[in-house]
Amino acid sequence: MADRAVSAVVGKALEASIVIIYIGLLTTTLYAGVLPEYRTAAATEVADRTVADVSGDLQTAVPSSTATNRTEHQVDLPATIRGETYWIRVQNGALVLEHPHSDVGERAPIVLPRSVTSVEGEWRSDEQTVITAERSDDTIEVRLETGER
Amino acid sequence: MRGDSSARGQANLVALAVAVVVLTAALGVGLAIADGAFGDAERDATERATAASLAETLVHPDSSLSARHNVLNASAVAQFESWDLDNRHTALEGHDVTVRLDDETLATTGDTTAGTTIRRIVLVEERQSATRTPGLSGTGNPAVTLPRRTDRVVLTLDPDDDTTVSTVRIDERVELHNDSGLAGEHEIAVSPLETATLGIEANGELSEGDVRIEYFPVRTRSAVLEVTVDA
Repeated sequence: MADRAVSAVVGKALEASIVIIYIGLLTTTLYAGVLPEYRTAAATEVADRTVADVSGDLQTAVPSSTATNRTEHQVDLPATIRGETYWIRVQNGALVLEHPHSDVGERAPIVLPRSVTSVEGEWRSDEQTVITAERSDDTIEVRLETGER
Repeated sequence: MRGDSSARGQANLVALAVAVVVLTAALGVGLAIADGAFGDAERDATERATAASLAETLVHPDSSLSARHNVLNASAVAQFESWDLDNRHTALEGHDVTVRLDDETLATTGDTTAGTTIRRIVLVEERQSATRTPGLSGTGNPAVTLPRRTDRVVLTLDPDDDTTVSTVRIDERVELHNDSGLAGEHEIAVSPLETATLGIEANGELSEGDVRIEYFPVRTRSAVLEVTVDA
C-alpha cells in the first residue's frame, strides 16, 4: 500500500520535472540563440534601409537649379536600432552607419553630381538631423548637421 | 493493482510526451515562418539606393552626359566610356556598374548579372543638319522661314553674276550686309528659342540653288536609361 502512495508522488514529480526541464530548454534556446539572432537580422535590415534613405535624402538635398543657394532638408532617422543609438558618418566618400553591436553596420558609396565638392559631418541618431547644401560659385558643399530634438 | 497503477502512470507520461512533441513542432513551424519572413524582407537597399543616385547623377544638369535635366546629349552619350565611370565616380570603386541606354551598353565595370537595376525614362537629343534650298525665282526679296528651331545657320550664297545679294536679315535683324554683294558660306548664330525667318535682299534675279540654307534642328527621342549596380 505504501508503494502505491509513493507511485503517484513519483509520477507527478517526474511529470513536473519533465515540464520544467522542457520549459528551461525552450527558454534557453529562444532567449540565448534565436531571439538575439533575429534582433540582429532585423537591425541589419533597418540599418541597410536607413543608409539607403539617407543617401536618397542627400540626393534630393542637392539643389538642381542655380537659383537656389542653400537648402535645408530634415531627415527622419530611426532613433534607435536594436535598442541602441548609433552614428552615421561620412568616411572616404562613403556613408557609414556605426552601431555599438559589432554585427550591425552598413556603408554605401555617395554618388552625387560633380558640382558637389564635399560631403562632411556626422549624426547621432537621437539628435535632430538636417542635411544642408550650400552653393558658393559653382561648387556645392553638403553637410550633415544636427539640431536639438 | 500494482500493474494498474504503473499503467496509469505510463499513460500520463505518454500524454506528456505527446504534448511536448506537439509543442516543439509548433515552435519549429513558428521559427521556420519567422525565418521565411526575414528571408523575404532581405533586399539590398543600399545597392538600390546607389543605383538610383548614380542614375540621378547621370541625368543631372551637371553631368557630362546631359544637355539639361533628364535630357541626354547624343554625342556625349557616344563618347561615354567605362573609364568615365571609374574616373568620375570614384566612390563606386569596388562596385560593378553597368550603364545601358535602351539595349546598348554604354559602360560597364564588371559583371552585374546579380545586381539591382534602376530604369529611368530619359530624352536623348541630337542635333542633325538639314538643308533647305528654297525654290526662288524672279526678282524680289524672298523670305524663308526655317521649319524647325536651330542654334545656327550656314548660308551658302551663289548668285548669278548680274545679281547681288546685299543684305541677309534674320527676324528683321541685319546679319550680313555688303553693298557690293554677298557670296560664299556664312555661319550665323541664331536664337534656338524662336523660329528663324531669313529675309534676303537681292538686286536682280535669284533662282533655285542660289541660296542654300543648312540648319541644325534638335531631334529628341525617348529612351530608357538602365543603371545596374552589384555591390
